[in-house]
Parts: sequence; C-alpha cells; structure tokens
Amino acid sequence: MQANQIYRVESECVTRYYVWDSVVRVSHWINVIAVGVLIFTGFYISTPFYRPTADEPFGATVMATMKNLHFLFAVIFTLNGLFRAYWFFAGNTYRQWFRFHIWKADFWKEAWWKLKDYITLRYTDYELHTLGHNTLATLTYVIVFLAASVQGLTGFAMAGKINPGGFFDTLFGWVIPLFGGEANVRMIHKMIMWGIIGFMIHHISFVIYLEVFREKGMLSSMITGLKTRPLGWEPVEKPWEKKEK
Amino acid sequence: MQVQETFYEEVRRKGISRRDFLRFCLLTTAYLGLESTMFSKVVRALESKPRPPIYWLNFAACTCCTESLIRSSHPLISDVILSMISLDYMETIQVAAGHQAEEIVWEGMKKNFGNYILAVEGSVPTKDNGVYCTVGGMTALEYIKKASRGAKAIISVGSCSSFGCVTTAHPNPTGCKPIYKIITDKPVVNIPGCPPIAEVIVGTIVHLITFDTLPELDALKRPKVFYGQRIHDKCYRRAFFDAGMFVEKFDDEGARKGWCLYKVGCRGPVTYNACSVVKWNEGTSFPIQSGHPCLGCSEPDYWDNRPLYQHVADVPLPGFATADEIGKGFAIGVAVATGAHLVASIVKKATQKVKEEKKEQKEE
Ligand code: HEM
Ligand code: SF4
Ligand code: SF4
Repeated sequence: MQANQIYRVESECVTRYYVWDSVVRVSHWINVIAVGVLIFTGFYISTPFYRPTADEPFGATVMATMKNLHFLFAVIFTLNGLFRAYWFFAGNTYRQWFRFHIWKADFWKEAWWKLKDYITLRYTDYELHTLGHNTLATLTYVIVFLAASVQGLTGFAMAGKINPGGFFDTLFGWVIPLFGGEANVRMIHKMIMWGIIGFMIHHISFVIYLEVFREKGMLSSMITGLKTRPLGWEPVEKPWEKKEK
Repeated sequence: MQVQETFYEEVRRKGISRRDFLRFCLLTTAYLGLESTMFSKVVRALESKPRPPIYWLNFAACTCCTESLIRSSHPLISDVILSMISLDYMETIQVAAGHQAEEIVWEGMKKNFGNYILAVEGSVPTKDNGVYCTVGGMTALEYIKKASRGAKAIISVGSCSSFGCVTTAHPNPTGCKPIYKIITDKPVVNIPGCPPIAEVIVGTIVHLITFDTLPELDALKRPKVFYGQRIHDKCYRRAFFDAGMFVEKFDDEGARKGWCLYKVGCRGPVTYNACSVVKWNEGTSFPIQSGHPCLGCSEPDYWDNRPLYQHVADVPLPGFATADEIGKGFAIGVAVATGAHLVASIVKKATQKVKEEKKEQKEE
C-alpha cells in the first residue's frame, strides 16, 4: 500500500522518516491561524477591552467586526476539522485511526507506560508508529478533537440564534436546551477555550523542547514532514511488556 | 346546566365597550404575530366560543406574576385578564375564602372536566412528600396532580412554575420542581419571566381560545412568538454593542449617554423574552431602557446562573468561580507543570552528559 509505505532518508549522522504528508501540514497551520484568531476575537467578545473614541456609534463596528471574524474563522476551523477527521482514515500510517484501540488492554498498558516514561523524564522511542503519535498523545489529540467539536456545536448554536429557524439554528439549535439555556452554553464555550489554551501551552513548549534538546525534529516536521532518529535506531515492540531494569 | 358565557358577553357585562373589545383583539393579534387577516378570526372566536374556565393556582412563589398581571396598567388588558380568570378561582383576589373557595374549585373542575385551563404560579415542593406547601389541607403536589386530571392544558405562569426560580435555587432545600417535570401527561406551556409580561400571558390564553391549540412552542415549551428571540437581537442599544461602546460602571459617561450595558453584566445576549419588543407597563419602558442590565429572569434556573451583573455565569463547582478565573488557574497550572517538567528534563540530560564525559576521561 502506497499510503502505508515508510519513507526513510539516511544522512551521515541521523535517520529521517517522512511522517507528515503535505495535507496534514497545511491543515495544521490553518488550525494554528484559525485558533489564534478565534481566541483573540473570542476574548474581545467576552471582555471588550478596546473602545472606539466616537461619541455616537455611527461607523464604528469594533464588536461587530470581531464577531464576524470569529464566525468566519470558526467556519474555517470547522471545515478544516471535518477534513482532518476524514484524513484520520485516509492519511498515511502515522495519522491513521486504527491506532486508537481503546477497547484493547494493550492500548491502556501502553498509555500508562508512556505516562510513567514521561514523568521519569525518559522520552523513550519505541515502536515505529510512535514516529507519528504514541498512544498517550493519540488519546490527548482525540480529547482535544472532542473538545473542539463541542466548541463548534456550542458556537454554531449561539450563532444560529441570530436567525431563529434559520440554517444554523435548525442544525444546531438543539444544543441550547441540552445545556439548560444559553447562559450555560456560553460558560461551557469559554471553559473549553481555556482548556484549548492549556493544551496549546503544553503542546508548543514540548515540541520546542523535543526539537531543540532532543533533536527529534518535532517542530520542523510540521514544515518539512521529516522526523529524526539517531542513526542505527531500531524500533522496539511493546516495551511495556519487558521488565524494567 | 348553566351555559358558559362567551368571553365577549363577559367583558360587555363588565362594562367594556365593543370598541375597546376590538382594540384588545387587534393588539393581541399583533402581539401573537398573526397576520392582520386573522384579526376577524380572533374577534369571532372570542364572541362565539364559550369561555373556558381558568383556575389560577398559587404554589411556592412570591406572587409577582399575579402582581404583574393585575397591575398591568393597560386598562384594557387588566380588565380583560380579570374577567378571564377572577371569576373562577384566584386566591389573591377572589371573594370566597376557606372551605367555600375550595368547594368552588373542585365543583367547577368536576363540572368542566376536560375543558378547563390551569394557570399555575409557583413551583411544587416535592421533598418530604411535599409538606412545604399546602393549600386547602392538601400538599401542592397532591393538589396539582388532582387538579390537572381534567385540565385541557396547563399554563405555567412565571419562572417558578416554568423552570424554577427563587424557589428551586441551589441548594433547593424543599426539593421544588417546575410543573412540566411533575405533570407529563398534559400539554404544558411555559411562560417564564420574573414576572412574565402580562400581554404575553394574555396572548397565550387568547391563542388557546381562538384556535383551541397552544401557540407553537420551542424546545423549552415556550411560545415561539414571544420567546423566539433574544432580548439582545431586538435591543435598541444594539448599535452601541456592535460599535464596541459600553457602559463601564453605573453612572459613568456611557451610562448617561445610553450605551450598551454588556460590561455591567447584561444578560440580554443569552435571554429569550419579549421585553425589548412588547416592553412593560403599556409599552412604556423595559429594564434596559431605564439603564439597568437584563438579569436573564426568564432563563432556566436563572438564580443559579449567578452572580447577577456578570454576563457569563460562574462555573457551578464548589466555591463558584468565574470561567476566567478557573481557566486562568488551569492554564497557569499547565504552564508551571510543563515548565517544571522541561527544566527537569534539561537538567537531567545535562548532568548525564557531564557524567558521561567524566567517564570517558577516566577511561582515557
Ligand atoms: C477554538 C475555538 C474557539 C474558541 C477558542 C472560541 C472562543 C470564544 C470566546 C472566548 C467567546 C466569548 C464567550 C463570552 O464570554 O461571551 C466566544 C463566543 C462565541 N463563539 Fe467562539 N470560540 C471558538 C470556536 C467557535 C466556533 C467553532 C464557533 C462557531 C461559529 C464560535 C462561535 C461563537 C459565538 C457565536 C460566540 C458568541 C458571540 C456572541 O453572541 O456574543 N466559536 N468564543
Ligand atoms: S444592553 Fe444588553 S441586550 Fe442591549 S445590546 Fe447591550 S448587551 Fe445586548
Ligand atoms: S429585561 Fe431581562 S431580566 Fe428584565 S424582565 Fe426582561 S427578561 Fe427579565
């Protein structure tokens, strides 16, 4: 299978693996821009910190512009997310969905082992698929994906209410009674935003660390698609089954 | 058997002119959002259909809904309302009292079994078998169950009986519940508001009489015509909202100039009601027009969406903190944990390197 083939480039001192295809990379940077704009405009909507100096509202449209931008980038973010969900199934081996076997004991064993591995500051490389994501990371991304979905549902539900009975309201209006009113919908929308900010803090600092101090090519892989491992590195199968020394 | 009077006969007997009656019909047709061609249908229905008896029941509530109704300064509306309900049963203003009053209710309900309308004000305590509210020797719980048996429809008037208001607020010591959670086998319409607008209550009743059906309801059982839009989307201060011009504190310059009240906690953007359209007291004004933010009084559990004067409610976790406080706490927590982890990783690697170098030196 073409899509599952592993591309490997060996240079003098490291091995590079082609992990992220161009679709993944482009959609990742679209996400970065969209989430950035969404957080900024969302903050403004929540706590308007800038006020036009006019005496009358004629011509000034700061809040309206922020809301329009928020909506525009929400649509971009959502379409991008939907495409990415499809790519879970269609993308290359590293992206693929079939690694997400929550019903298997091995999945949880691996996640638990990896958590201990992180906490004890080891950063072990093991199976080949972890060039993409290890199980713990997969779990995190799925949670982030779900959070983003709830964010989209609550967002579009609020947006739809500007035109009750209209397109967005018909599709997403049911979300509001589900949370017992729009006040709660807003509160949840905001909490998830903070959740996403928390994820971003961790995500960004880690990829920088792994790029600079561990030379795994984490950050640059989102530009070049290539991840780095030391020369002569061999994948290890199921390291959590071996006794730790 | 005594023939039921029509609504028209009744208001005429009360001394209301035909002209006023027609004005009332026109107003109500407009409030209900019906086409003007429906005007004649409303008139004909009120002239010819026997007026269904309406029993107004008071349970755990503050009676502000009754106040809203009988103090509605619109002479027409208040007269009309009184002729609609007072005759049958309404504790606050009825003449009869005690056993006599109770007899009238149960007699009437028996006679009109299947035809009468219940208007319920207040929620129903359910804890300890509902002993926290008793009417005529019965708990409110027994009362509503018995009274609803022959009811054609139940109108939950006000936030208490619609969603729960002060009476169901956390921690809800008496286990109060809104009506639709207790009576599930009858059509229930919610008219939330603390209090609801008189015109909205009347409009719903007129719809029921005219078309023999409840008006179209939304997912929370509210009539769509009155609760279909947010206060915010019909608010006359919306231009200031869109511009980004906000009152920062009460009595500042923006407040004097009538800017948007969002930053002093306006809940207009999350509140579904007709205040900014129908307004209050003969269409004189409504809270936002008099410079006060909307408190969201017609939203489910609005006392628990606390605190007031803050447009996003606090997170209902123990201790109640704002979403921003919790969010910031979370983000800082993540930042500190990540930072500590990474610094530890860097230090570990550096010391390992030093050790390895020393080893190499020794071996040499
Ligand atoms: C990562 C994604 C997102 C973030 C971080 C975010 C953030 C925020 C924040 C902080 C608010 C202000 C809440 C408040 O205090 O009132 C907000 C409001 C809102 N968001 Fe989002 N949002 C995101 C995604 C979306 C999506 C996908 C939509 C879909 C259209 C959306 C639509 C809205 C709407 C309509 C409002 C309310 C504006 C109003 O009516 O005043 N958001 N968002
Ligand atoms: S005053 Fe309240 S309802 Fe009116 S525009 Fe401002 S936020 Fe919206
Ligand atoms: S403006 Fe808001 S708080 Fe005031 S009566 Fe209307 S819905 Fe209730």
